[in-house]
Amino acid sequence: MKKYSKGLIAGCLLALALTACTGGGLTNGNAGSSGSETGEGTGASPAASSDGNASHDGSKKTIVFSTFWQDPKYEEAKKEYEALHPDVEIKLENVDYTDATLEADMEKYVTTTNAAMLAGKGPDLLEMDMLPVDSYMKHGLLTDLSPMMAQDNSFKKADYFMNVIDNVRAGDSLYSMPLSFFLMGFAGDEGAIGKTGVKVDDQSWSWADFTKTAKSMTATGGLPSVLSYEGPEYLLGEMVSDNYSLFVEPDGRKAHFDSASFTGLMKQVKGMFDEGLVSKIGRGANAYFQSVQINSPKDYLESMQVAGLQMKMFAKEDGDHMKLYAKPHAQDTAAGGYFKTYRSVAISENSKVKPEAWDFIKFMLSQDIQSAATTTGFPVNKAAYAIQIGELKKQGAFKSAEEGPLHGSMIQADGGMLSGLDTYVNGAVHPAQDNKSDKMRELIITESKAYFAGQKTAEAVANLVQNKAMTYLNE
Amino acid sequence: MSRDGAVAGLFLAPSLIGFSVFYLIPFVLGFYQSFTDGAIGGQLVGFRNYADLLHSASFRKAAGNTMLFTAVGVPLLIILSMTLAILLNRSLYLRSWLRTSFMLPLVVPVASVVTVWQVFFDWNGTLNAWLHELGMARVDWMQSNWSMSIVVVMYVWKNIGYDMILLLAGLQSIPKDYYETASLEGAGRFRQFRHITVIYLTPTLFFVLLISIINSFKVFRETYLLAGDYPYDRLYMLQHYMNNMFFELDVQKLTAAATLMVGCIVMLTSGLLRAERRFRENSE
Repeated sequence: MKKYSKGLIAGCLLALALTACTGGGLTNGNAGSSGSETGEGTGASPAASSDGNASHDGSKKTIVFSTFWQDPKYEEAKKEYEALHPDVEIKLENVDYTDATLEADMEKYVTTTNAAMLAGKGPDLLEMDMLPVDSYMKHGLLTDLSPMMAQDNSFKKADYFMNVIDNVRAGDSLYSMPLSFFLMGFAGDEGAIGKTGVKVDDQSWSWADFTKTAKSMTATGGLPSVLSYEGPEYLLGEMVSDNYSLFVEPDGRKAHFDSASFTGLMKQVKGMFDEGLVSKIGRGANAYFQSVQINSPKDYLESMQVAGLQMKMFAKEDGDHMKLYAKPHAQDTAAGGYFKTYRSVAISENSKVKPEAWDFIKFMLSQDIQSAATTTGFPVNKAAYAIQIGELKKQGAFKSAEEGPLHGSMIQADGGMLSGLDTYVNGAVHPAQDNKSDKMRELIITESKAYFAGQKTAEAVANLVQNKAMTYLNE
Repeated sequence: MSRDGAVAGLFLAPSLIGFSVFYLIPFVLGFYQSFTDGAIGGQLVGFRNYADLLHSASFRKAAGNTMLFTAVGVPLLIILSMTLAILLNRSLYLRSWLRTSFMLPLVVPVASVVTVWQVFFDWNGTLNAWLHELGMARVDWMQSNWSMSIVVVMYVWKNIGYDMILLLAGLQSIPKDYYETASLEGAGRFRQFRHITVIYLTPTLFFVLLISIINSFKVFRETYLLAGDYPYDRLYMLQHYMNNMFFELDVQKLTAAATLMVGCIVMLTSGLLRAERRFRENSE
């Protein structure tokens, strides 16, 4: 009998060893609680349960904070916070990825985090930039931060760019708090635009206004194009997500891509490219506007210089007065520019240390942590932003990136330009690349390529998009 | 006897444990999940998830497409592999080489096969180039009603060798005397085929049919690589639906769909096995 039991143990071990490598598939996700994923996470194991860490016996509380990237910003915040609050420990978890397997590592991070969250064993705090916020929200995996904000007397809304925070809400609830954001807009040369004599009202223009303005601008015979854009399919995708409600019913059950308004929009975009109002060649040199993403006040000055250099390749006298313009908005939405959140954090609904986690978020939103000028992203803290601007002005000039197109030359901190940024930082009200329309956008971009390449008719593409959109919406 | 049973259990234990840990237990958990709401806490909601599932037009479409695919693909595969098996059962020039070559699709990695097929059926691909030379209009094969035929062809191409080998083994186990006796008694070729080959091949055919049906559910891997997560309407199958639900984190619908699918497969298999048993009892 002894022999048998030895054999049995050996057999079990062998079976486990043989089958272990096949267990990484889909079954992992839907089993969720089976615990098979805890052992195999390489670096970050978001599955490491929080309830084990939040020790109730001692007074020390642990907040598990999961991110994909290792981020000095969070490390600094953790160090300072722990110094101020000796009874709280913040455990930063990030993934040990390698460059060669980055994409697979990212995917794995998302799936393991999803599984852990669904099983109720996720971290307390999560950086949501890579994670599906909408799905988490739908399944009630995240804590609504707005009651915490409302009850917390030390959190004063006036201190923050509420135009950003309020516009990433889902209804009245806020599940994911942006710590910083980027501005998405156009770069254009004030001088060159002034020469056309056309009035550009970028604070309130819609895509229809833009088309009209574009026509009158090219009519003056200056630059050949008005906007430089990656390709017609992207412009179409953009215009559709801007007019999302026109094509998808609000309850998300019915799509109207087989309508005349969609084929009309496709034809309009094609027309704009055919007439040369918008062009994808020239990389912004031959157009009044080009798309830009502004990452910080410092980046604003630098990327405007770079954009100016590009313009000079086409017209020597232009490109000296580059500034930011707001991107046109959708017909039926409020006027204002676009932003993109960067470093959004959320608290797990299952966390046992919610008040502490909120306190830490508030700490990361504070002026001290946010005002460092070296980090990427506009801080959502207004005072921190003012400090960054003030310091730049005081500095007067700074060195550009050595590897960049300016080769480390000095950049003047133009006070007027920096002050002009205020309007855009306060006026950005539309989150760019809304998650909800992301899948649709991808769909439209891939399918419409065939139309713009002249392979299919607009109607044929519209039908394909309509069918796939309906499949997506009815799942 | 009980000692034998214990020993048998012992030897079965490793695979049984492996099977339970990685298939049975997750499935049972999934089955339970399909009757609960949301993942955390999970209260029982009866058949609500199933009702939701059946209300989803996309699910119905996916189920319809999967059924259509199996209904067209499997008979076609069996007829073709049977023809091949009968042809290769005679002495034929290069017979063993031919047999080997039909097995090759099984060992070629899927991803590389898919690449070749993609190149072949792309808008700017080989097939369209030929059409163009013949002066015909180009077709976007994967985005038209041809797409399912392409996947059927791919499925047949991939599985024909395996089925053929199984059927060949079946054919060779039929004693030659039967045919000799039949031909002495004046039975023609067709009569021999109908009354000897088909009858004695039936047990093998049941098995081949079963394997083919199960393999037809596995064609998702190829379709997914070929056409992505939202393919042309006709190609959208149950596994696409489940895959997309997985990424949407909709565990409830996912497990409900999986349970329904397993239920259908179990019903189909047990029906087939019962038919086989009845056939065997009749022929004895």
